[in-house]
Amino acid sequence: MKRLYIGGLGHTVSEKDLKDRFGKFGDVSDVEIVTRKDENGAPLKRFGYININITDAEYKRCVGILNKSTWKGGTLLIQLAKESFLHRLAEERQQLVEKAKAPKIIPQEKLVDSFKAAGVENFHMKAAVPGTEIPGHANWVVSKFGRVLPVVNLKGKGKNKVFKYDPSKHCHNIKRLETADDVTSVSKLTWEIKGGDDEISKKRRGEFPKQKPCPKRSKIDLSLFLSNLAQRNAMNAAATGNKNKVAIQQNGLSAVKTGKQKSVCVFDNDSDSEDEIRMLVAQEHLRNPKQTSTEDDDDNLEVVGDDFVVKSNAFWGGVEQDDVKTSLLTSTKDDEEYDSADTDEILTRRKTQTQAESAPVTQDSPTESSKNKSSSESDEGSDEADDEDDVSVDSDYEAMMGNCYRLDLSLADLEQLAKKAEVISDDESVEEPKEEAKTPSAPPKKTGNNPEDILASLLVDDTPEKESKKKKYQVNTVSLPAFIGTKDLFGGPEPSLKRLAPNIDGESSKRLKQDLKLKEQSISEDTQSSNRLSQQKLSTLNIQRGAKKLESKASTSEDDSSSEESESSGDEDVFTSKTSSASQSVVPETELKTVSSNNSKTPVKPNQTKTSRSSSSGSSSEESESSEDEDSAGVLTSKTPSVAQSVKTISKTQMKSVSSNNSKTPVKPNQTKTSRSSSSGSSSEESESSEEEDNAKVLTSKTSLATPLARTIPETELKTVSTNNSIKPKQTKTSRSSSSDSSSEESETSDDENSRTQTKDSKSADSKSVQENVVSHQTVPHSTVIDAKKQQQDNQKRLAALEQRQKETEQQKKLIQGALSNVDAAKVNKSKHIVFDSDEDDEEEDETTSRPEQPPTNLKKSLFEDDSGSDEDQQTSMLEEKKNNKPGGSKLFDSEDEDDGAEDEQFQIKPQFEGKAGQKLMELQASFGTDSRFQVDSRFLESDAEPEDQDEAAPEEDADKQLLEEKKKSLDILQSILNTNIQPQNTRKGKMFKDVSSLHYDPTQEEHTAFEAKTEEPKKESKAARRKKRIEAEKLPEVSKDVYFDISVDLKEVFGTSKENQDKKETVSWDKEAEDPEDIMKHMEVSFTSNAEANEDTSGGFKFSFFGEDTAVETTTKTDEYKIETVKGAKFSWQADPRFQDSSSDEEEVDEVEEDQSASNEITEEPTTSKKTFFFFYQNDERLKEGPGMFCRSVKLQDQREAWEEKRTSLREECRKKHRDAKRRQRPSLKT
Amino acid sequence: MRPLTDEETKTMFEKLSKYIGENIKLLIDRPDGTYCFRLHNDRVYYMSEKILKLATNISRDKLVSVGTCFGKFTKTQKFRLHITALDFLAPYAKFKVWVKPGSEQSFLYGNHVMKSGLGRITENTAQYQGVVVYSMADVPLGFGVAAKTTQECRKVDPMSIVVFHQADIGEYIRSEDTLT
Repeated sequence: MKRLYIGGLGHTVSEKDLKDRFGKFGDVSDVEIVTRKDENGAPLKRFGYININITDAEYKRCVGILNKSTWKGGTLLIQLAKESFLHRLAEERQQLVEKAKAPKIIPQEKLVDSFKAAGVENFHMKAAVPGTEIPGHANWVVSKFGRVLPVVNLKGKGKNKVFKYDPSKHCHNIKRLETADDVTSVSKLTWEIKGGDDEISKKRRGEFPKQKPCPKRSKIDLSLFLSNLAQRNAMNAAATGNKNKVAIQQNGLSAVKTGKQKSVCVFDNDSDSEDEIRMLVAQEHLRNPKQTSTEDDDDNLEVVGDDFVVKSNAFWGGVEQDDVKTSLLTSTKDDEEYDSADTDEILTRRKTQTQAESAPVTQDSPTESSKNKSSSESDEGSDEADDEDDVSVDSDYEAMMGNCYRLDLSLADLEQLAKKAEVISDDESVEEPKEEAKTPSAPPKKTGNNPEDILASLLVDDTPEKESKKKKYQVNTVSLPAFIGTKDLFGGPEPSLKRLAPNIDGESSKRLKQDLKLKEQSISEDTQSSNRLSQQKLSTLNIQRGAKKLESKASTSEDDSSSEESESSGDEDVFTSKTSSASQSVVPETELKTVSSNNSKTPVKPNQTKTSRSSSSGSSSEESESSEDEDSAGVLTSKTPSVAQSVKTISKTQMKSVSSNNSKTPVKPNQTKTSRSSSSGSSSEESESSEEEDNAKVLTSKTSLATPLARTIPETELKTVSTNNSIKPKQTKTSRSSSSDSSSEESETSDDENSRTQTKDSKSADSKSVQENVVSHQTVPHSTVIDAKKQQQDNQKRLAALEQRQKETEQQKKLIQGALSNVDAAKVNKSKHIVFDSDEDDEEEDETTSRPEQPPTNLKKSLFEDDSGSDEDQQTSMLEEKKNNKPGGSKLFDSEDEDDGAEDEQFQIKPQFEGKAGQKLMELQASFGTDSRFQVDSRFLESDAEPEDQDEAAPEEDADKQLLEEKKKSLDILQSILNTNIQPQNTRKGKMFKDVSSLHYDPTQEEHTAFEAKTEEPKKESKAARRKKRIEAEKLPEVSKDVYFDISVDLKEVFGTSKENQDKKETVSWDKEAEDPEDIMKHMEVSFTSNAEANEDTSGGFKFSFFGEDTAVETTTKTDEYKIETVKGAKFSWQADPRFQDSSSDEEEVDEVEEDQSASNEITEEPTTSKKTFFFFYQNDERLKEGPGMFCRSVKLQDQREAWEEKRTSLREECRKKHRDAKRRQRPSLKT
Repeated sequence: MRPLTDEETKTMFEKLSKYIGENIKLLIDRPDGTYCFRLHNDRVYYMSEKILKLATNISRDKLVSVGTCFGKFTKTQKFRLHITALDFLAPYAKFKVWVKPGSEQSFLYGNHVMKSGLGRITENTAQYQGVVVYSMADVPLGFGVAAKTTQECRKVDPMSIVVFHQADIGEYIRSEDTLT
């Protein structure tokens, strides 16, 4: 069966025809005709396929017959075609079916069978030489060891060559492997490791035990965490409070342990130690916060107390500083922010300094109080009560003195005081620990009561605050969230932290706010009573005392009530106090109470101060602060003598404070001195502040005060400054500070007080302020002890910064002192009253001396307190008192003046130290110290010191000279080379680049005269131009003054005549017209003459000859002159011609000029002669005569022609010549 | 480091005067300070008084260079200008030659300037007159000596040398180590 292709079929061929035609050769089964058509459908090609059952012979015959034969219009083309795919498909399927039916034969078996037939067993042929082929298998060869191997055809890499690999030919490469007897099958290989039950083997096996929570680990993590915290603390604070840290750690650990024991949940993950701790802490807190708090308190108190003692012994000022630092820790960050601004503030806000000072002082006390508050108000109160009971007044006093000593140490100026107070300080150190030890013993039971009370008072306060002033409330509200945040932060990590946090954040924040409010209230109350400062202090004192008393249950009912009242009313007062009027009503009560309490302890205010001191060891600083505040307030308020008086009283009571306010009032310095003596840690700040005030009266400088206490100060200062400026900002700041530090609250209160004092004349009650300070101090130690753990860490960090600040501030002070000593000498002398002889004894003496003066104030104050309504009267009375007190203050100052002088001397430049020699001398002296025995005076100066200097200078000059000489020489050489004259320039006057655009004419500079247009500048011009100019100058008729003068003089006479003429010629029309203008001109000239006169004044040398000397002449004459001028102008217009005439020869011009001159003379004279004035012409005008001549022929026409003929030839020649010349000239230009 | 002797000064000035003529005066007598020439390691350095004083702190054997090197004295006591002096010669140069961009590179590789590469030349340039070579963008490229006068340059064939190469800024790279 074949399939044939039949091409070239005719159009008419049908399938049947094909079938018939090819049926001869075989059986045609299938016929298919295909017609190819073009685009139009016209058939191009026709062909067909047929399936025919044909033999090869038949096919050949068929092709031979039919191929290329024409059949029905087409030439047949017969070829074999491929089978149709349908046919093929059918065949393949059929084959598959057949295969499936056929039995399967495995080729391997076939091969093996065939090999067997050939004598090969298991591919081994025994006794066969390698290379022998196996019969029946072409590609199988016997190889070494009788193996039967196939011959492999390998295709070359990348080539079409095929290599035949005959294994028999490579027999030598084949080795026989000796197989071991015990062959282990792959399945029997060691797939498993045999091991014991130990963990490692299990892990090797991949069996990991279930993770079990290991309790030990969690504990370790906690301890590590604690240790990390301790490390941080240690990093921050170099020396101070190692014990405290340890204590904290211990406490923390213990707390954690307790928490773990109680906590049920076990944490699987060791990694999240902090989280765990937090969780534990939270759980603990939730379950039994009271227990933990009590335990913590106990632990803290114990540990801190020991540490505190050690610290106090180890570092003179360290304990208090540390405490302050700890208290400040929270607030320090804020402080740091302000640090940089301190100097700027100093510069900018000198006047507000006093306020700022007061604020910092108050801040210190607040910090202390805040600490106490944070720990627990009840504790504070109990501590204070304990202190009062147990510790004698003297011990407290000594402690106060110790504080002073520390301050002195910090201040260079107070060194003398420090020496004196050393003994005292020792006593203090001993005493303080005792107090501290006592403080821990204070029962915490009362704390709960106190906080609650405080909270209640706070709530009460809050409402009034809101009502009274929204701003403050806002501030408070803002501060609250911050506190919460701190709580969270602190509460998480450790139980100790938790303790601190709850204490500080929750209670303290609220308490602080309350306290602040209370303070403010008390302050406001005080202010109401008239002495706002004193009132504030009193109120704070009262509050503190009240709390203490309540705690100790030994306090008087009055104090308690007053404290509560002050708290409740205080907020209102504060708010109202800002308003300044409303708060007064509430104040009196509190004041009275405070006064009464104070009085009860000590009849006289000085006594009160003492008592307060006795009660509180650290209160002295607060006192000093308060005193400073008072001072500053006084300064700020008015700088008036009355304020100064109050300050004096304060100072007396407090002791001798170093120079206080800015020289405005001598009393203030006394106060500052007292503050120094009284205040321990705070005194340094105060003294610094006072010093600063003395130096530059810089308030901000206080911020820079370096003492550790000062840390609090900067913040407070800043806040105070802001408060001074505006009360609202103060509040905000205070709120911020309160969040972190309770001290900030105090500062706020102080600020408020200050502001109040500023607004109203502040009559400060020293005793009150002292009390406040005392209270704050008392509170401070406890609070510090409790909070110390936290705060110490932060404080230690900031200690270093504070020390740096101190140094910087001291430097600043010195600089400022030096700068201002001369400038503000007078003021400084007044302000600088530094008493260095103030020791405890001295202070006492001062107090005694001051007492007589102070009592009146106290009495009056008490009276005022009683008379709550009469604030103004109180104020006035206070003023009077102050005035009375003044003399005592002045005495103190007198003694101090010497010191001031000494101070001044320190900063004076001593003559022997001037100059380089002086510098050397100073260096020498410095090397031997300040001991006079070793002082190296001028005798030790080497005599050749100055010559050396000269020698040093000499070489430079020589070098310069040499260079100049060299330059000269080189110039000479250059001259010789170039054979030209070279003049050395003036070196300094060489060409310098000048930006012309930036040049501005400055008439004051002489150099700029070059830019001025010189009137008489001789211009270098060509000779011809110069000649021309000269000629022109000649041409121009000289307008000599004389001529005009004469004319004017003549015209005066002429005027009358001309008038007469005008009168005569009224009939003439144009003349008449001219007259009218003349009349107008007369009016004009009046004004013009006046103008002319002005012109004469203004236009320097320029003078009108017409008017110059004739100003006195009547206006009428002037009109004549004007007229004449117009006439003259006309003449000149006529004469102007010669200027434009072509002057071929100079002589002509000269002649013309002469003529013109003559003409001008004539013309000028004409008006005088011809008295009738026409517009252009005169009577008998020559021009009129000449004119007609122009229109008539003067010469006969023929003569003219002849003359023309003659002239013509010459003209032609000239024209040609010129043409030629022009051509000649043009040629070279073209060439070039 | 020492100041130049008269002899040395003369030779140097003679050389310099070939390029900048009497403008040497402007180098010696400057309005902006005192400047001087100093000899160090046979090289002449031009420096300000200030630098001179500073350089006194450095020992002679350690001092490599100070100020600007103008050139060096050969063993035969002739003065040879270095390319480093170009900054001071270019602004004061009296005769200049501008080189076409095509032959810029050739010159910067140390070849003489051919007539074909000559873009511009100051008129009245005498033969063997020191010239400063500029690119057509007025960037000073070096200095050389005019081989032909300006007039001769007009007639000469393109491949003849117009300017003898003396120094070019390519030396900053080619002889970096010897340029001090």
